Amino acid sequence: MKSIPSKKKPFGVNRRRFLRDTALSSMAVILGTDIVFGHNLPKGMSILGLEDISASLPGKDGRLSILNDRPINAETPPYLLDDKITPGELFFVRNNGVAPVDVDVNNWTLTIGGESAKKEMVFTLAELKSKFKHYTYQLTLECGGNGRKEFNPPAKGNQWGLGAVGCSEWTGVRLKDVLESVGLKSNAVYIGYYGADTHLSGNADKDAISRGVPIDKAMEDESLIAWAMNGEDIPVLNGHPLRLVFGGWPASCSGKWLSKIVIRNKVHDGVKMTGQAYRIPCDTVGPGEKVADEDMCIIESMPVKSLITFPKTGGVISLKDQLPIRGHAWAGDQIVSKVEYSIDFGATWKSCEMSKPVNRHAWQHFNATISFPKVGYYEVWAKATDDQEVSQPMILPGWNPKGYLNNACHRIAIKVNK
Amino acid sequence: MKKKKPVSYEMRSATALFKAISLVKSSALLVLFLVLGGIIYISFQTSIDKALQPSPEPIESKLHNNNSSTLDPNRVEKGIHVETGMVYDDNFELVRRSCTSCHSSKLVTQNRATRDGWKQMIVWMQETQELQDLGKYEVKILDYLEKNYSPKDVGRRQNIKIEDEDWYVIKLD
Repeated sequence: MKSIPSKKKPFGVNRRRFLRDTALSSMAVILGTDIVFGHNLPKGMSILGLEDISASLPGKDGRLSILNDRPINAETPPYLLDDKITPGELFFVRNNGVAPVDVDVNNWTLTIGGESAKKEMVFTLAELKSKFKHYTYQLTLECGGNGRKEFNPPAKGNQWGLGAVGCSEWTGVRLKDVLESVGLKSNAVYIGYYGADTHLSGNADKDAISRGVPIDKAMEDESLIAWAMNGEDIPVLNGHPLRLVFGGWPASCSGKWLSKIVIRNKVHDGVKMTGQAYRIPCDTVGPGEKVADEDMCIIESMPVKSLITFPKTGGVISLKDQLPIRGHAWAGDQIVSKVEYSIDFGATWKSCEMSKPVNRHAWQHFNATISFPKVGYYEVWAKATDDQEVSQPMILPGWNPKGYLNNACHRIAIKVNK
Repeated sequence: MKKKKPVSYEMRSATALFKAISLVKSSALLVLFLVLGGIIYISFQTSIDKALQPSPEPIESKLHNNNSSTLDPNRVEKGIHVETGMVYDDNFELVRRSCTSCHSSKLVTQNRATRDGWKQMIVWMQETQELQDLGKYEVKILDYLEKNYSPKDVGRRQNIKIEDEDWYVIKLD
């Protein structure tokens, strides 16, 4: 399904190919050799060594770890997530395609359509802002593959460590208000999004990603079409000027550079909704087992999890001092009921003080003060439990082929000296 | 069974003549096709082979100084090609050119997979990411990936890598 006019081929394939090949020939002259598979290069992109792609990311703190620069993917080390509300420059980046450049905010439109919409409507950004009531919520977004790097056997893809998560304050309109103004047919079961990002191959006929959520999730109060993060424009790499935000679900549901929403009469079948993407085995499997596509189920609410954001791992402290620790905990559609810490590798656990969420899907904050009994090497482990009495595991949770949903407890290393 | 129609002598000779002409024509076409095809094949192979030569050859760096900005990024240090972060080994140049024309080398270096796992990734890229058939090069590419980027058995959870920790004194208020 391809229905975004701005992504249509401007000249047709032959002219595009000619232009690209011409550019490649000149690149080949510079390199003094041909570029094999160079025809796969997206427009405006060159190969390693011809441009400085390791330069810091636009709108982002230089301390983010860049996992991948094509497409851009970067995570935030846990100690930089210490703020209660994650600042834009510290919010992780997970892109499947290439972010649009030269976004024209004044002419940006959002189309609502699909077979289960009563009609198709197009809104400008100004119309969205003037026609519907504004809401602001703190919403936690975590990449479904956060923690992937620990899976064994390994899963392919960006090897996320701990920091593909953040909780910022998002402002926009309720998705349900917009959908209801267009009108939903009674057979509506799912919504899907399309964005203005482009496929890594440069093929204008392909979507980089087009996912969505069931209609019930779409109609929740906290499900937003947002244009602001922490009272400012959303960072370019996080979806400026418009994106969906569904707290507590894999962040890939929350489409960036949002240009179209379709109301579907079936589970949305856009790119990365089908096959094995963002799915786990419907029934648990052993490590390394192959799972057929039809036995994979779509991930919905994310599992309970926590991060110690102070101190940074690798801290040294004197035995006479007490160590304050703090961090955040979140639990998908649930609420975190308690956070505990252990300094003896999980043998004993002590309670942390913790806050209630400011709204649904906002992460919660915990803190504790630790007295160490003697000098030595310690690990501080944090373990959150949700209101369904489900806790984080200490080792890796169930293996799955694509390496999703690793919510094993966070550990930091501490040395206590005399 | 179909009955054969009776064929006159004239018709037979006309048919023979026609067949002969067709044969000459198709032979000529075949020769032309073979020659052209050969030229195209040879030039394609030459260009593809030339393109996959390790050229420019990375410099095996003897120095390990920290002033990296003045050094050629296209160099090898401790067996790692600095610019891409990839292991400098047989078929490095082939893998570099095949993979990094579309995506970051980081997508190679951060992943680990069996030979079959890498093969599945290639198939996935061909099915969804417009990667073309790698032909005879696929074996060499897989050789390199299997040798240098195979999984290590890390168990259910690894130790915190304390040797990598940047130990610091915690500042308390």
